[in-house]
Amino acid sequence: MSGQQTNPSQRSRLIRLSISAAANGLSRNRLATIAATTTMTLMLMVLASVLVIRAGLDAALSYADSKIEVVAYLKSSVTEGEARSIQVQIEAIDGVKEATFVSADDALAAFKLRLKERGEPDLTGNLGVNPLPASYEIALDNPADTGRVADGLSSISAASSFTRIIDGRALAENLVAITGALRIVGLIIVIGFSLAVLAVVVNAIRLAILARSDEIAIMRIVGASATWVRLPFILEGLAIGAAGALITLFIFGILSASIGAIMLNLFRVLPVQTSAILAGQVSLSVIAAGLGLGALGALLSLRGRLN
Amino acid sequence: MSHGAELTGDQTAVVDLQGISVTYPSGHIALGDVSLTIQRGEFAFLVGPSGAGKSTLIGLLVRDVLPTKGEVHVAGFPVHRLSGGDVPRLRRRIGVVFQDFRLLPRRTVRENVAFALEVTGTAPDVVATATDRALRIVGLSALADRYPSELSGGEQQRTAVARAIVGDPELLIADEPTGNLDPLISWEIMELLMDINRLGVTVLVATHDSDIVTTLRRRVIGLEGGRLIRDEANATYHRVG
Repeated sequence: MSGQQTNPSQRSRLIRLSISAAANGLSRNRLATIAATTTMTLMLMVLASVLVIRAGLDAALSYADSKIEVVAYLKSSVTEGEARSIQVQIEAIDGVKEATFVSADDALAAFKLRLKERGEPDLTGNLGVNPLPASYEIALDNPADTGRVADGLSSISAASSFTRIIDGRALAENLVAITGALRIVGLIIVIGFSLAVLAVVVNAIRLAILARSDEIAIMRIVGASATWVRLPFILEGLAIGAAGALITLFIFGILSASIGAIMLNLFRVLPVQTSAILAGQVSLSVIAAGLGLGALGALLSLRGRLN
Repeated sequence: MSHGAELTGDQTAVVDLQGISVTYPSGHIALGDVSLTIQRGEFAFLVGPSGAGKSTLIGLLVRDVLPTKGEVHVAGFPVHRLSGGDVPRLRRRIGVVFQDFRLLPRRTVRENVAFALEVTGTAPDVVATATDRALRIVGLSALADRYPSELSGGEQQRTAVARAIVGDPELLIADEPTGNLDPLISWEIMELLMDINRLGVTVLVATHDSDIVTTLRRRVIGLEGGRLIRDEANATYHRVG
């Protein structure tokens, strides 16, 4: 607003006037407002869902990176003394950070705990013997070295003591592929919905401009500045965005317990903190996307119309 | 008068056009080499057939139209090179009355008049005082709480005049102000415009009403085909001789 000196009290009067004009505009074009807010809410629900699923996959990926590296299962005939000497050989392999011995009893205890956390029945009591083998869980300096370390394990002199060597490559690679695909698909869906939302918001604001065309013409001719002519419409766009965001967060708030259960079922990797994700990143993203799309829609509909 | 924009042109003139041409992108010449000056406190008629360039000339004064050539000064503002941000400041120095009144139907007479000041951020006490004064001048104080639909055509045009003068403009432009009114009411509106002129406001009336122009014998600026074909004091609608 070059050349226009607006003092603070003038500004506050004009802001009050703009808020009241925006409120009148929204209630006058009720149908367009409801349509725009509903579309905005649907889009933000999709955005929030994509963010929650992505956060779950990211958590699973980072769990895989940190926990699943290389596991070497030992033959049941290997004694404790032999196991100690194997540990020295394993830790001498280039790229190995640490090798942890997990006895057959420890493995059974961990399995029972996992069953209990998942709420599944513990049927291990029906077994006469412990069927699980002892193993070495091998942590690496760099998770990308799983292949090299697995090859190293096969070539040490104690290699014949292993029944099976499992490296986390396949799981990590699968998770990376799923996460990458979801990012792309999610992005395409979110962009598609955003464009639809923009079209509906632009339409709603254009209707508001049309309904107030006489008022706008008078404002321009009596010397209202362009900023104050435009502000009510930008506020209308922001209000549609804010309403959509609040409704979305309200619905997600109600559904957060169910979403948590679904996520747990989906990823089977503990713990995925759905409520914390909702409260933080997702809430901010939904609010920012709602306000941003609302304002952008308003600006697009005003472009070249009120000069 | 005090405003931040650079004051230029003839300081005794409220309107000063020098060598103005307006050519539209289609190639149509709406105004060609028009020069004229309207001094502070003058009352002038702008006449000419449809398509003569009257609307373009009014558009130039309120900076709805930019000249392709020449200079326009209005109330001291160099309109031809005014930045977009300064346009509202120019328009606050000009009041405009239209043939179709352009009142806001959901606002009362008082609210319609006050609206012109409210949207420029004027303080409420100033708005109230100026609105009362404008309504008094046009004789509508008693009808201040009525809605436009409850008024006659003449009363609606009086409301539009009150809205045009509430900001205490230097120039009042009336574009066919009697076009929608019967002859008796038209005379009332013309008398009102002359009263406002007597208060010191420069008045420019674009009209096709030959009876009014001829009877009042004021300055007549005539346009035809985008050219200034006459500019005479104490003149009639049709050129004599």
